[in-house]
Amino acid sequence: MSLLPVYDKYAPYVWSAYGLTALILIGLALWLALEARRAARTLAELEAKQARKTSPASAAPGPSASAARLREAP
Amino acid sequence: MRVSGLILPWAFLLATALFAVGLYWALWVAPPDFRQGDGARIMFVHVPAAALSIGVYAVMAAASVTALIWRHPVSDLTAKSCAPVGAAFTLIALITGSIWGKPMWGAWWVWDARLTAELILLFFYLGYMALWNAVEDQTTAARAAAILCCVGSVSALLSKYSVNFWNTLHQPASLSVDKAEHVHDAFYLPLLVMMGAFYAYFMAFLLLGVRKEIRARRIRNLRGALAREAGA
Repeated sequence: MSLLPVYDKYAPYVWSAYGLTALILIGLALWLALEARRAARTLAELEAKQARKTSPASAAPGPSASAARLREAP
Repeated sequence: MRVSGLILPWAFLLATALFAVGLYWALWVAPPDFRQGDGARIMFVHVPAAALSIGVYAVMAAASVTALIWRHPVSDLTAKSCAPVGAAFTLIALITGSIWGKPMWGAWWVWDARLTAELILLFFYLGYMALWNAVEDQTTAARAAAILCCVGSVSALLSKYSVNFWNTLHQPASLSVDKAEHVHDAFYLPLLVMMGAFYAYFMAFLLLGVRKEIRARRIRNLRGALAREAGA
């Protein structure tokens, strides 16, 4: 048995149908996966930003707030 | 989110396994048709894509009705997540149908009732997605898109029953509950596996899409809250 089956005169039709189907399904899968990953990353960043804003360390200035600022410093 | 996170990898795994088995069966094991020869193998991607193009629209319409009547917070996101997958299945059905039509009918396209209804269904999917993106306010967008989806249900129904309503060039359904009506078992069994693969693919990307949309909604809310805080 050969690796790829031979379909004689129908081969171009069969392979192009399967090839285009694979292209659409894989393309959609990649696009949706990348979009989902980007959304998860953006949400994590925003939640971290909000947590920093609402944390007691940043709300009340004092030794702990200074320490938090130091940790954030580059 | 936790439950969908647990189901998601299994749905991907199931879809991959079913596609592997189904493609091997369809391309290597299934015999050529006595009339259409190897050209009939296109059926194994065309039929599931066409069936799911209507099936996904039915899910989308049910979610839209739920969103309109009961205002369930996730139902409009479910409908929105169905649209790209449904549009892809409709596009596959149209492309593979066209490729199958050329050697069998001698034409890439005919204005047959089934084909035309399927093309209109694709326009409804594209219009639905465009509407979501065109309206800034998401509540208004959800409502308008849900109404458009309900209107498009007519096209989905026409696509499904056109072969029964009119004497069309397109053949009747290849799958049926009645054994006498569907194709021979040599084609029926791999067709069922491919149907399962398309369903699993839909389930996996529906879950992924809904998770993404829930996160996108949270992002919009958080951005709004942060902007209000910055403005105060």
